[in-house]
Amino acid sequence: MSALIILLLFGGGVAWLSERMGAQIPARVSLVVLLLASALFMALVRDVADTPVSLVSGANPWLLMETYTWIPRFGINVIFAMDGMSLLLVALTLLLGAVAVIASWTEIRIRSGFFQANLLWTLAGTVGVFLALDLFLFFLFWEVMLVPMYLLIAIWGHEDRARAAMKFFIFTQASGLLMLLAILITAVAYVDQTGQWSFAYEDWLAHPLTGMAAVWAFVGFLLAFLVKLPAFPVHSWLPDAHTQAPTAGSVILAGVLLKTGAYGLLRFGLPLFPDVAQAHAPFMLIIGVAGILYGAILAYAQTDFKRLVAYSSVSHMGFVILGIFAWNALAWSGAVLQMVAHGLSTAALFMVAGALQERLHTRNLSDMGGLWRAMPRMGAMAMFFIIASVGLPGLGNFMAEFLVMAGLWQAWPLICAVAALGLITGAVYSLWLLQQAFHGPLDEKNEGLRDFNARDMTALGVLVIGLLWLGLYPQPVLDLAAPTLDAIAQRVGG
Amino acid sequence: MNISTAQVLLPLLIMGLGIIVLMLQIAIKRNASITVALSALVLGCTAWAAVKGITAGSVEATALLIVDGYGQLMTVVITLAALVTLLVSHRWLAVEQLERGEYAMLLLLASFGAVVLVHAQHFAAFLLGLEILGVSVYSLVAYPGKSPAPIEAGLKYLVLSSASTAILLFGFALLYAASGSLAFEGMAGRLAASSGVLVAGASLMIFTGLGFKLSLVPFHMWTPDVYEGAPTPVTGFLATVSKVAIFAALLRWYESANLGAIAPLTQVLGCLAIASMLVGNLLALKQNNVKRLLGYSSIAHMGYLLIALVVLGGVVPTGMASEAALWYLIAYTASTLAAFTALSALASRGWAAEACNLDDLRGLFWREPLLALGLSVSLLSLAGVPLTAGFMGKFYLVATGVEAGAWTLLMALVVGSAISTFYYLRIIYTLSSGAGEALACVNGDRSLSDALMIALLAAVLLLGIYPEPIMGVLASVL
Repeated sequence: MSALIILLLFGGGVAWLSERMGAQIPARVSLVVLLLASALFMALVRDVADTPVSLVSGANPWLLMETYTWIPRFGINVIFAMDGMSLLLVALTLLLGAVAVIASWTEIRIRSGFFQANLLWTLAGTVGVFLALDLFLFFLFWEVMLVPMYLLIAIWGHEDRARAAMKFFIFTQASGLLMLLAILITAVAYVDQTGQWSFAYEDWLAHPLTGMAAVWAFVGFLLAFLVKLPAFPVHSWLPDAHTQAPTAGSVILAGVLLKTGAYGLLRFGLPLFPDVAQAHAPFMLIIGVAGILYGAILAYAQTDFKRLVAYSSVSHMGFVILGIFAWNALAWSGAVLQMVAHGLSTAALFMVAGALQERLHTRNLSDMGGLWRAMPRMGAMAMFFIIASVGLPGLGNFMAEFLVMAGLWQAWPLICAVAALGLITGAVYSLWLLQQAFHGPLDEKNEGLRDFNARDMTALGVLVIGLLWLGLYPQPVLDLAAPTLDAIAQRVGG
Repeated sequence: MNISTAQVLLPLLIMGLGIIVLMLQIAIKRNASITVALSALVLGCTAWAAVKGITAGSVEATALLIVDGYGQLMTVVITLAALVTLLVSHRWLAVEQLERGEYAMLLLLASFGAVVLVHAQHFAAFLLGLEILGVSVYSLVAYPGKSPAPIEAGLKYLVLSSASTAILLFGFALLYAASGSLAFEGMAGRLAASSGVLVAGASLMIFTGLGFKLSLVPFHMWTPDVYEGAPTPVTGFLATVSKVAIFAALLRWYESANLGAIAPLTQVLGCLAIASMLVGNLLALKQNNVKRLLGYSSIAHMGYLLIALVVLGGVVPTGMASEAALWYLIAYTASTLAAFTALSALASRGWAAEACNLDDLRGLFWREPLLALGLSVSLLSLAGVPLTAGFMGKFYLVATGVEAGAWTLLMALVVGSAISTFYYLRIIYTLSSGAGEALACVNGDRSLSDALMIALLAAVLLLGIYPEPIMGVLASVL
């Protein structure tokens, strides 16, 4: 697994250097790097598939584990481990990474080498977050992936990029510091209990925190994760960052980076602080519902294509919060599925938005209209993904939201009913988006725009297949995540 | 003095002797290259002797000086920082046509003062070191002497610094009145036996005096002006060597006098720390001059550092406080020096004016990738982003604070760091943004400054990625 991260980091360097051979080369290099990384990942996973026992037994949820000593002074080790949930998310990261490279194929002409390098480094950081099982290492990746993402927005972003990039970095950095504080509170408590330093997840599980320290530590973790998710009311960096980022940046932000927050909650927030987390569940559910409705209402009010999709992300990620804090395995599997499905559908929508911006030089919906006639392939794709994010049965997002609602209904029927309103508002803004951009009369100046080519269609086609698969036959994905979720359930009594 | 004492004192002896030789060399034949080479040799040998001495154990050289691993380690830091400053200045002096040997001489004298300071175990030695350091630095700040800014800065520093030394001396006198001795050894016992009011008053006066030199709020007024007015390499020296040496000496006294037990003092120090963190960071937000900005940010960093002092020997015992302080000093030195090296190389290559306005840095990422990368990494290190020396420093401080339960201080640290992210990123954003009006680039030998930049960059990153060896050294000297 460390090889995977090293490959991405090293590939970033190669992509940067390859710029000297021509502005078009770096994108190719980074696509090759991502294909190599995927092959490596497949090889890792194939070993796992040969031993399906560990998948079923649930006694040891870790499919793979690597440990190296790093800083003995503080008992810090480099621990990478993969279970079903991180496997899914790493796969999503690599897939969307490739999509992002395709999205930047023609868009990025200036300093394309450094762009691709930052893209690959962000992906390396994200993969690190999904695999790290030492909290120090987790924090390191959590922070380090910000820097290349910041540069992506700050250098290649749109008109208001400076402010957006700054806001993104400060929100995440400040909440990250609180998480560092929380990590150290837990670590020092561990020292008090055992007399030695450790940041290893499994050590911490064996010596849970108690009392007020647990509450403070949980709040520290929670804030960092909620900012990343993002949850209402700490979401305000997201619309700016998503809107101003270049297409590939938006794809990675919405598709993968947001998931690190949810992943952190499921992996660390719940198992490390089961009692505190459960005590806060009602409050968190309200935050989730507020996010769903607030995001949906604001999405409807937007005139900017990317901003609308960004607010819809706030709304959809609200379902993930609901799924996590509904506190049963059904809802958790829904939350995991929602992470993947939302990643696929939103990445595709940002790709459409980026393609529109590249062709029309505007993201303003009122300048669009009737584009279906000019670009039928793009129109069809946009319709598919908009319908998917509305939650059409048979597609991944429906399956995910259904599971979340079903799980939530068992525990909190009232909240479930309110959250269901989000499905209606979701349909309203999504269809509004489709109608504004692609239906109605076509402006003359927009005639003869270049439609999606085979490269774009392949990238989106893969996402279409993914969403159909998640919608029609989600069982393999659910089976993958099940041991992880069972382990959490055993731990927190869900 | 016998042979073994002389051996232990080797770094101090080499330096003292070296300064005399240097003086003779300048008197006999003025030649800039020889002077620089000779000074570099002296500093290098001192650093080498000090590295050898780290593990040699602790020896009382005289009643004034104690030579131990702690002092030797700080000597290494000081001499290396001085060496970097010397080499960075070389190019700048050539550009400004100021190549007269006195610069290297003053630099060496200042470092000598700093080395005496970190070995001091008596307030007489403390004052000697402080004044040798201080007087040399006044002259260095005003060294160019052609434009009014350095002279103004030098004068400002001189006046305020002398005033603070006077307060400091008054503090020493009160301490003597309270305990009857100025030696650090056994001070804890003597202080405990004497009048509490006198001791608290004395230590507050000493902290006021040192607060000026360390530029803690509310004694920070001089910092931005002096930072801006002084030649860039000298600013780097002032920001690192002079603060590190004073803090290291202060830490030694604080520990041996067990000042952490005096509750009113730690409360005042806590307030100073919080004020420094918040005021320093807030005032840095509005700066458009990079040197001024780094001046304000150094105020904040001294505030962070004070956390270690406040929790040292506090109510909840924490074994890590001095280790954290030393690590932070080393990390701060490496990062700050890297930043000033980049700025000064940019200035002498003609990209930025000597005053270093933020706008001068526009788009340099694409023209001077190495220097811009060095500056960015050092700023990220100061901001505390992982994989850099500064992050490990912050990690240490937060761990110490959590151990001691100093929640107010930690919250100030979190808020301060969050604010600081903004202005550090602003510089990085400017570096990476589109190109503006380019000043004419002076072509000249760039290999030296490139090599220095790479070395400092490697130091900042290595301390962050593979901190274990230095942590081992810290554990062995404490």
